Amino acid sequence: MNDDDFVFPAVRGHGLPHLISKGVDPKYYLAEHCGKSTGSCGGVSTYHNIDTEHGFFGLAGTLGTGFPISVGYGMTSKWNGKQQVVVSCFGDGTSNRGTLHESFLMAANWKLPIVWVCENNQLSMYVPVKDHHPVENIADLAFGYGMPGEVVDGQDVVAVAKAVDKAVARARAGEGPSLIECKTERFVTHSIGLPDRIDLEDRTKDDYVELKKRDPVVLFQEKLLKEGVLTQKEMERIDQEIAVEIDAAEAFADAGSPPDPSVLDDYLYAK
Amino acid sequence: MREIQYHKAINEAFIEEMERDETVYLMGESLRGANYPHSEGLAKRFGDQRVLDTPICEAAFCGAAVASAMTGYRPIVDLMFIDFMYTAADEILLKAPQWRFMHGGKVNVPVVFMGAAGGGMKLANEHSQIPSSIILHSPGIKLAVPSTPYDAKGLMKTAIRDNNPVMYFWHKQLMAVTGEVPEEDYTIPFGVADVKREGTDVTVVAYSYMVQLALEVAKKLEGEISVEVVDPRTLEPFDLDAVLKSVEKTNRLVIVDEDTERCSFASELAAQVVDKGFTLLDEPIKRVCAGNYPIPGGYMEQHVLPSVEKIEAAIRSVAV
Amino acid sequence: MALEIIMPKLAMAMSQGTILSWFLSQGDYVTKGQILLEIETEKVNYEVEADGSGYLHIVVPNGETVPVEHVIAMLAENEEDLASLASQITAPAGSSSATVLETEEVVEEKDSALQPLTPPKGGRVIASPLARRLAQQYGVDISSLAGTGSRGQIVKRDVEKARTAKPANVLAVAAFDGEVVNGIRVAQTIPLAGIRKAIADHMQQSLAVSAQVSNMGEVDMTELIRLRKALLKQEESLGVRVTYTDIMVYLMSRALRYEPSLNASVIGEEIKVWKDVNVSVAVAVQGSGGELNLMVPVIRNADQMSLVEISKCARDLILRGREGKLTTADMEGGTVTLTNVGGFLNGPLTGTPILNQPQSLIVGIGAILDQPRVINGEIMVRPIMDFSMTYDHRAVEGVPVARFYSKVRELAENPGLLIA
Repeated sequence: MNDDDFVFPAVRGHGLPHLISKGVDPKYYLAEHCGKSTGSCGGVSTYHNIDTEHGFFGLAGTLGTGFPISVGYGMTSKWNGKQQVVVSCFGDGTSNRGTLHESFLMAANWKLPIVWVCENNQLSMYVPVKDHHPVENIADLAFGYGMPGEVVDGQDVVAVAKAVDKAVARARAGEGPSLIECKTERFVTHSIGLPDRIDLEDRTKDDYVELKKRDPVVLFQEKLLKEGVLTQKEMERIDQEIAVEIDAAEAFADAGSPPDPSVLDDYLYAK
Repeated sequence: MREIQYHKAINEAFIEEMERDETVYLMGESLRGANYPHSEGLAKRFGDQRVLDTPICEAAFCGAAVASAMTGYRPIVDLMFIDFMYTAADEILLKAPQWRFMHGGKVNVPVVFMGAAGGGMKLANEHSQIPSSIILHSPGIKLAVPSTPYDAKGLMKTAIRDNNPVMYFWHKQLMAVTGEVPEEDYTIPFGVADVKREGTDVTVVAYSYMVQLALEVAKKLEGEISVEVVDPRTLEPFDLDAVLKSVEKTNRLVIVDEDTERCSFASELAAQVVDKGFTLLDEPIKRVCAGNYPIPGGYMEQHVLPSVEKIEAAIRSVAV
Repeated sequence: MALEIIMPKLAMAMSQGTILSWFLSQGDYVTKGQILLEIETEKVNYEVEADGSGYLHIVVPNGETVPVEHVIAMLAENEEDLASLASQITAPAGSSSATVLETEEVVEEKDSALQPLTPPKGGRVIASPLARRLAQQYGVDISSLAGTGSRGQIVKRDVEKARTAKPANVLAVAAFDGEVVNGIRVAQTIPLAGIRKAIADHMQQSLAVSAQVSNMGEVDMTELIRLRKALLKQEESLGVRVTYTDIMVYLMSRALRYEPSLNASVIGEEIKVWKDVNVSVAVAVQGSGGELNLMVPVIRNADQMSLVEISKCARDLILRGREGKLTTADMEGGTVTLTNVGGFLNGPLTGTPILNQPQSLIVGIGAILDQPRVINGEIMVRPIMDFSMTYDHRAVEGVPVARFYSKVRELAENPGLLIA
């Protein structure tokens, strides 16, 4: 993806993996999260992060409202001649929204350059996907709108990248939208302090140990080592660099001050 | 000066602004076929790319307009009947007004939403509302409510040029009203009220079609009660000073608001006048609004909506 | 079951009564015949006895006024019933004072929405915010103004009007610390309540319901003065000091024998000509607060009484009036009235007394003053007394009134005729 390609991050996770993977400096994210004026939104929203240079124009709190927004990005991408594309992410639960259908319809109808990416972690809060979706694959929804729908192993970083690359290329070529469903798992509880409950049974610690064995980061690290792309030492160096970057981000967030109340008026209306 | 109809004035505003700025486009249902005459001839003139007929999916196209506005365009979204805005409530009331604010002022959302507002045509609840209080309750979106062809054109042009979301209510009962509209380019600044008729005894603040009703009553009472009719033209921003100035003269205030009375613009204005202009008042502030019912269709409609009779009674009750 | 105690209706004209004082407390056990409380009616104070036994539950407290026949208390059979009564906010049976007061409030509210309010004495001034600001700005005492707004509130024009009034007056009024009403400084405020209220209502009512005509005349008192002097000399043996009032009661009752049609009342669609000649005598009695109250006790069948009997009867009534011991019975049943203001005068004054309903005749007499009069072609000094009459022209014609007047004069000038 290009720097200026649009991304609508999924609501949960507050967009962090999407932002970082697209080159956004995490210090602005963290400062925003701490409500500091140095944050990406001046400390007003605390988690609706934004970085227009990297294609993030907004983050929503209401589920399923990213679909229509992504349609708008798609219209701009199609019209402005900059060859941009849109990647719009959502979860299996959000796929329930009617806005999905309205937006799939509009995007397909107008052949908008949008890649719809469903991160299916099998749980809509505590409702298993089988209880809220009538067929096995959410990707199957694509066919009703005449667009490609593909299921990939969400734990396989390379497989996901390949699928997205293909869909992005298709979009950039003006052939319209695609839907990719990444089958994955939830490795942490939905709410801190509450157990995940599936079919009235609490997930146990052992369950998480088992799930983490399929952590895509762990699997990818193993793959890189195995294929000799990186050595153990190089990976440790990367980990150290990450630690340094996070320390710097924390220091940046700490140093920031809370926003001045006068920004309430400044931010409400544009001149 | 030439006289044209209200819908024609809106049509002219579209044409002039679309000529002036190529990022301006119109989006909605059955616009090319000109379901309402204000989109007449636009598709032929500007092409399908700038007059977009959407599927019937308000949430999607309203949300799309928000994103489009943030990324370089100036969409005008025609919702046909303004009542349909409820099907895109998140996009119109949460996204458009709030995203600039929530994102630290780093994006602008220059979108115009418009729709046919108001009753009087016996079309029942979902085709007769003028939901101004819902809009006013959502900080971050402006609200234009033209009552004449002149205002309709001038306010639409300002709305399109504004860097913020604007809700524009045009009134079904005003569509065929004619009035003077200059041929040269003009805009009407938001937040500047227009005294539609001068008077000394009672101030009537009315907007949209209610201005016409207020003027009718004022004319009827001529020689008996001198009624001043103040048309704010936009409810957000709102020209409170103009109202206070008028009340300073008349010491009496009647607010006519076609929206449902409870928590209405009328209630809000009454509260503001009591707050800022308490010592200007000689009589209680009267509100003439739609009753606190859904707007019925058919014969029952008249019993809920404001009327010239109700306005006259309110004026008389304070003009003692 | 609990026994209801109601505000008694002590007289035909009694419409309401005030609880002066409960002699027992909530929850006390009451035996039949025990005096429960004292009430104040339009004319008298009255002690109310219990007409049953039980535990007392007071519904209307001291100082409150309620219409007649409304429940003022309940006598509970046992303590359990008492507790249940006490726990009820409104008294039972739909006739409770609470219900009545509620109704009255509603009516009052309705009225106040329609009619201008008069500024309440010393209470809240109802004025528009604008009027208040202007009044402060101009130094106009807003409490002195009458409102002309839609709800009777004082509005801008009322303040402007006061401002354009005589500046000196406005300044004097504005500088006044005390109460100002309608731009007039108040020296004292007397509640229009109790007996005073009853008199006021009675007077206004009288004018409203009858066709009152007043005649002014005079009586030469030469002979009567002579007569009275003689009687005063016999005071000891007679046992009473005869007054001119007594003499006039006597004279009137005799003159009415000649004009019985004046001793009458319009009741409903009929005129009742009375057989009894009962003369009401208006008496000003000093009240407990120093105020003068009007009492009108009745000398029954005065036409059958001797002058001394009349005089004794009058003395008794007046004494009891001063002590506040007049009963309702003492004040009911008059058929004509005599009012004498002569004792308070030092010059001629005639008036138009208001009829004491449902009577058809009232006579007012003034001071006896030496006046020049032409008698048998000569100017002579004579003691003259103003004599005025008001009669109800619905019941009474002018001719019999004129004859009655002439008869009074004839008898006064020739008292010997009285024994003829």
